[in-house]
Amino acid sequence: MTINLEMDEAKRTSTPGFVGGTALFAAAIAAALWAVLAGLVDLVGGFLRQAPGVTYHNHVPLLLGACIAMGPLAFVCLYGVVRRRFPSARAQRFALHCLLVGAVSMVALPFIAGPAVDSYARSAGYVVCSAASGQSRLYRWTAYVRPQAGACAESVLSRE
Amino acid sequence: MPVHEPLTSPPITSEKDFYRTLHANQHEIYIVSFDEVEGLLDSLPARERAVVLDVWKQERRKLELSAGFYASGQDGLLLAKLVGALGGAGAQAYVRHYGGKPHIVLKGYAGRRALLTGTRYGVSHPKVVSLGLGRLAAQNAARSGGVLTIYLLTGYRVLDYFLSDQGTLTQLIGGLAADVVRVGVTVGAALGAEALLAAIPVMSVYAIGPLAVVFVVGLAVAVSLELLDQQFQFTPKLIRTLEELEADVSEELRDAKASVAATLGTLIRGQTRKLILTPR
Repeated sequence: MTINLEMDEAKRTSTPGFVGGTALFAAAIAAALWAVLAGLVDLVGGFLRQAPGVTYHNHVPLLLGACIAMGPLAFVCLYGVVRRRFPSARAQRFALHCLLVGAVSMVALPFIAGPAVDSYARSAGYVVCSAASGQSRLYRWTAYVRPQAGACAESVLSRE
Repeated sequence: MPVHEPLTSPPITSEKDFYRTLHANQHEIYIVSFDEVEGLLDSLPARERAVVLDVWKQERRKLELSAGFYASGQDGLLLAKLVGALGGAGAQAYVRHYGGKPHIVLKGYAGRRALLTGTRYGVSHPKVVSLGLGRLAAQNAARSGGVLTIYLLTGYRVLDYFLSDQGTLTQLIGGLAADVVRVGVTVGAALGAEALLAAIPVMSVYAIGPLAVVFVVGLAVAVSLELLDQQFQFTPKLIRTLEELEADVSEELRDAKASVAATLGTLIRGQTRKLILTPR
């Protein structure tokens, strides 16, 4: 993707590279946001209705940080495509601050959220089901179940 | 204010210098083939082999995680170093041409900065490149991170192939192909997002922006692709397709061999009959 930086804003925001890049960027953020919301609804909903099994995925806080970082940046790009000019300097600076806060959150949030969820789950009477917990190349999941006979096996079956 | 030029290595002035440099750059590399590694493992006594396989089973997940996250971790460290070197996240930098060459000009009080104490640097200055300052350095970080991830994952997959009980060559090739595609998409997304950021006037002047966006997008896309792969099982499907293809090709080859053998048999039988029946 090449964008000529000598162009004025109207031309720069209407280049195919900028429009296509913005569309892909916005789609990627929408997908990340969907993954975060689905994970949060699953986790919080499970705890609230005291489900027999709840799974915590550590990609959820990581992608939440990514949404904080990239959401405002995507807004600035979309604004540019739609209005043919970028938002105010203040809004752009805010997007940059969000980018930095999000970058830090992506690293810090999984380390904070993991122990916090674990502590809450144990206090709510759940135990870790190692058989249904696991890890892929870039994230891991922990299954919490009620300490009753067969709950862990059911959790494994439902995962399969 | 003098313009900082790229550093060059110290000149070799004597024979002693030459040999010292030569010794400092000496590396021993063993290139072994698949068969040699297999032979090496087979030659181990059963007890030691069991220990090696057991250690691998315990450590493989950690190694896989490290190989996957290494490049992003490096970018994150570089980002932290850059913030430290600039004396804060709000430092501004922009590109100006001096003598026809692009330079990065740093705004603000130079005395507050720890490493980048000058006011302007060439875009390929070692300090600029090693700290990931500017577009070129961020692009380099994304590309070299991608290449490094492919190297690490290849090493991991090959080791896993030898040390796992149920690994097949098709699984190794399928896994490697999926890794290369994923890393390629991740690097492409990071570079694309960096180009988008560079087009935004206010955001592009902040020195930390390009590297921050490469780190964030690289990590987020890598994790999202892993999620998609887990959800839709792309890699296992690819491996299954390769296995089916291999089975089909083997069957075709078997059929072709049988057909050639049958034709040859008919020909030979025909010729033999001719020879027998031909009156001498």
